[in-house]
Amino acid sequence: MTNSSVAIDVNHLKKSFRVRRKSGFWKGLVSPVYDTVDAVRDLSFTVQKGERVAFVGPNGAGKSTTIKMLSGILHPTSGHVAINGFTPWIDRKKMAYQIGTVFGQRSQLWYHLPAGDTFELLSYAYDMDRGTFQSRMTDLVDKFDAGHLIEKPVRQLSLGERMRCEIIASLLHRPSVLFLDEPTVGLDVVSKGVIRDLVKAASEEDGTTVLLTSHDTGDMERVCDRVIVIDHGQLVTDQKVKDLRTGYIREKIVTLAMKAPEIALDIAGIRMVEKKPHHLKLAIDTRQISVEYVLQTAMQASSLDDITVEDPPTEDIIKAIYSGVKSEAKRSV
Amino acid sequence: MIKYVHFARIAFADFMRAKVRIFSRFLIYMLITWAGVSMWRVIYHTGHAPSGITLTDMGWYIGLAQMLFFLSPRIFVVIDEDVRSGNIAYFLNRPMPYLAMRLSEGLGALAVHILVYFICGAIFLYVFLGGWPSGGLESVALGASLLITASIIHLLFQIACGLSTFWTNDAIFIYHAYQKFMILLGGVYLPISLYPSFLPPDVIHLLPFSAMIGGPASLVLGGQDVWTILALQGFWGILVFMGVRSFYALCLRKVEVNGG
Repeated sequence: MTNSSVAIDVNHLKKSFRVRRKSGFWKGLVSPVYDTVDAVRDLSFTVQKGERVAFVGPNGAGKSTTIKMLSGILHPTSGHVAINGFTPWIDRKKMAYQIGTVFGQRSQLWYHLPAGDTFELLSYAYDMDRGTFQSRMTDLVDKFDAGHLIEKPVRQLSLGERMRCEIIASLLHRPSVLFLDEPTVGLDVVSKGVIRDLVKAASEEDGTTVLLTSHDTGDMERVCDRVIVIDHGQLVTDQKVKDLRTGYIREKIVTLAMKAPEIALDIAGIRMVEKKPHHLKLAIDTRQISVEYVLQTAMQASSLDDITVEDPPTEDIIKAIYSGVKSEAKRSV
Repeated sequence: MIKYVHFARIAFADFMRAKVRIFSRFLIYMLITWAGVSMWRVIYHTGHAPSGITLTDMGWYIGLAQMLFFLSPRIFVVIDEDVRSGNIAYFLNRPMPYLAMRLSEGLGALAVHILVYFICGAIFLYVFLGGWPSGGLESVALGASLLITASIIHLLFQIACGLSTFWTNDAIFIYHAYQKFMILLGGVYLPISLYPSFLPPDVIHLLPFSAMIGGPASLVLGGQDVWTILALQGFWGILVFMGVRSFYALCLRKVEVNGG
């Protein structure tokens, strides 16, 4: 029975590919040997309507393969998926009206045509009536500040401009679920920020469910509420983005600006990150020692001009999660 | 249905804008036709002319036969690129079949080429050959009309070539193989009635290549019957269409989107 508040329901999803093993020309021709590669193994999760979920993992973790199964492009080897109650690879056409996809490394815009022409074509593809299309396009073009872009041939747009048009194209038919596969890949910092804010705003306004894959933790932090980490096709962790810090952070980064040119802090649990005259940057392992104790010790050695205590960057947290998985795997061998 | 018309309309507008492409293609068409006619001119001057066919008739035959290769856009390149780049991922989750979309675009582009080649091509051949063929303008119009249906079959064959990329990762050599069969068995450089005895015309006429090239072009020579060619085109068109549909269904099971 499908729960009406669930937008994406994934159960024991599995996808294996057959890869031809390298061998000599004649041997490969006469009796090719194939290896089976498991891209996704027994993956299960659900996403509620309106939720924005980041799907994170290292290269080859199975993120894109999963998104392609969820959007009906690939058939799984086994398992079940329901998107708004539809099975993607069976109800592909019906589901097409309800989903939007953005693949950062691909393009759905006609290269030689202005993006506006592609929008018009897509409106026909999605059977939109002219009034709805015009108002929706005007609305999205305004929000994405793309008025000056849609008249230019796509080949003349920068990557960031093109990506704004790609997202408009995907949102045009008002999909209830939006799949974004590395939407900010190759973009500069400013364009990344713009794309993230626009996706989040569009999702908040329309209540669109977002499933986003990215290598960039900024996408995850700025757009999503929840993160699913996968590695080797398996679920590693599934939690709120804000809870990632409490669950995985073992270190705090402390920066000290001191009166004395240098002080000696020979304490177990401290790792020196940066050392300059009147300046120290330390990583403190909070399992071994408290931040308070380190600060007291430092203040006894010298008076301090400034103190900064930070969490490590999210990227380091994700790295810690990946390395945790690897060391677990090594231990189990 | 209306959505397909709009895809064709936009492709028509896109191809109309590409004036350099239209001009350069037409230039190549003129060069190849000139080379073909010049070859026949040499044969006629050495006294080996086929009986009952004037040089002007032969020129029109060559001109119409060559036209088929220029009327249809190179749709197999687009499909090949979609599969290899992985862009096909975008098109597969649209509420319209990918092949119908590409075929509509192909028909839109075909309409541009029909305008260009039927007008400019006819003027070029008339001036170059010094008049209409023995069958008059009517035979040219009939031959040209059958080239339209032939081009649609050619588009379907091209789609099949493009889809082969799912297995071969490169549709070009498949297309080249198909093109060689067209040249060899289609009657591109000489009418099928003049083929050597080991390639019996009665059998060659039944093949799709002849129905697409030699058949329509031979109307200027007073060759085959229009309705016979049309029936053959209908038969092959339906067969190729059904083949492409089954092949596409097979391709959908084979989809492994490139590049992650």
